[in-house]
Amino acid sequence: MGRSIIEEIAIQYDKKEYLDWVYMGFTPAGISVFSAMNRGIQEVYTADVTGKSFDEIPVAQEFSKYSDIGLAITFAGLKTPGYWVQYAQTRYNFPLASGVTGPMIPDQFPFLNADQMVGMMGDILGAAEYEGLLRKNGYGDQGFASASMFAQTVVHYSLIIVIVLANIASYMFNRKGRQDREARAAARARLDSGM
Amino acid sequence: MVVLSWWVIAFFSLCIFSFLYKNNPFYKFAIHVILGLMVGYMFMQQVIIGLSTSFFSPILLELGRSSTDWFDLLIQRFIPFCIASLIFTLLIPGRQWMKNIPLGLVLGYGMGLMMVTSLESNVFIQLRKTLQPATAVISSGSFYRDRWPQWAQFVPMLSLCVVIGCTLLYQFRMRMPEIKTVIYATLLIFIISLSDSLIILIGVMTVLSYFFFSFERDGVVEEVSRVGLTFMMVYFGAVFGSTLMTRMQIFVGQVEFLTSKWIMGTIQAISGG
Repeated sequence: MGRSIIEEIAIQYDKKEYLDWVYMGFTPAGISVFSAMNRGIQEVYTADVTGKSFDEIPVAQEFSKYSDIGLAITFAGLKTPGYWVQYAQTRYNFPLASGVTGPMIPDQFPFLNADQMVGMMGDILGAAEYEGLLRKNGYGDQGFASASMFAQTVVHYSLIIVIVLANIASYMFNRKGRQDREARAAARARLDSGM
Repeated sequence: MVVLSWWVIAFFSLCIFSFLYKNNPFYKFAIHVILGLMVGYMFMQQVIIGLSTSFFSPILLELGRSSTDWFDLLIQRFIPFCIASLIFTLLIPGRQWMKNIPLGLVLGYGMGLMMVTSLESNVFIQLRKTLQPATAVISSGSFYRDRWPQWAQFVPMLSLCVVIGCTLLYQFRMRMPEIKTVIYATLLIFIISLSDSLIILIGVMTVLSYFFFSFERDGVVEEVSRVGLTFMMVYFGAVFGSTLMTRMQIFVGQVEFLTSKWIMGTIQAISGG
C-alpha cells in the first residue's frame, strides 16, 4: 500500500527507484528497531520489499545511521510517533516530523512544543495547511485536502450548534424538573402540616 | 478488473452504511469479512513476513556468502529463534513454565530500554519546557510572546521591576493609594504577559493533583483537583473534535469514491470512455 503511494509521487517528481528512493517494507522487530537502526540500517533491513539486497541499492549506501538523515518523517495512526521520540530522537537527536490522524493530534503537541519534533501534520487540517504552504511557495494548486475543508467546516459548525441547543434544552428540562419537584415538596409539606 | 474492484469496494461500503437503518445480515457479513481480512493480514505480516525478514532471509544471505560466519548466525538467528519458540510450550501440559523464559527476556529488555528513554523524553524534557517560559521574564520561545514586537519582549521584566520597586516605595516611604493602584496595575500586566505560560503551568499542576491519591482530597486540594478536571475536559473535547474530523474525512473520501469512481467510472467504462 505504501509502495503504490510512493511510486505515484516518484513518477510525479521524476524520481528513480534505488537512485532517489527505496521502499524497505515492514520489519516486525518492534521497538528494538529504533536502536538497531543507529548501529546500521542494514542490520534491520537486509533487503528491500522486492528482495533486492541492501548492498545493491545505491541510495541506501548514503544512509548508515540517524546522523546521516536530514529529516525523518513518521506517518502513523497510533503511538508510533511517540515511540520515535522516546526511543530514537531523544537518544540520537535528529530532526523528526510526524503526520498523525485526528485522535493523536493533542497527544503530539507536547513533543512539538518541547522541540522534540520539528513539525506535525495533523489529519486533513494539517494536510490543508501543508497544501497552503506549497501554494504560498509556488509548488502547487489547491488539492483534495483544501477542498475537503468546506465539508469539515459545515460539519463542525453544525455540531457546535447542536451541542449548544442540546445543552440549552437540557438546562430547560432540568429547571422544569426542579420546579416540579419543588412544587410537589411544597404540596407534601402542606399536607403533612394538615393545611 | 479495475471496475470489478470498484464494485466490490462499493458493495462493502454500502453494506456498512446499511447499519444506519438497522443491524442486518449485509452489515454482519461485511464486518466478518473485514475482521477476517484483518486477522489474515496481521498473520501474514507478523508471522510470514516477520519470519522471512528476521530469520530465513538473513540466514540465506549469509549462507550465500563465500565465508559464512556461523558464530554470528548462531548468536543472532538460531538461538533467539529457539528461545522465541519456547512460547509455544504454553500448549504442552507440564512444560508451560518454559514460556516464561522468552516473556521474561522481552519484558526485561523492554523495561530496560523504556526506563531511561521514557524518563528523559516524557518527563525531564517536558518538565524543562513547561517551566522555562513561566520562569523566564524575558521571552523564551513562548507562542504568545513570539508575536509581540521586539521592544515588548521586556514587558514582563519591566513590570516585575516596577511592582517590586513600587512595593518597597509604598512600604518604606510613601503610603499613597496611587502607588497601590500602580502596583496592582503593573502586577496585572505582569500576569497577563506571562499568562500563556502560567496557564500551562497551572494546568499541569492541577491535573497532576487530580491523580494524587496519597491523602484524602478535601478542601483546597479538592477545589484544585476540580480545576485540573476542567483542563482534562478541555483536552477530551479537543480529542473528540479531532476524532470527528478524522471520521468525517473518511466518510467524505468514501462518498467521493462512490460518486466519482464507482458511478462515474462505471458509466465511462460502459460507454467506452
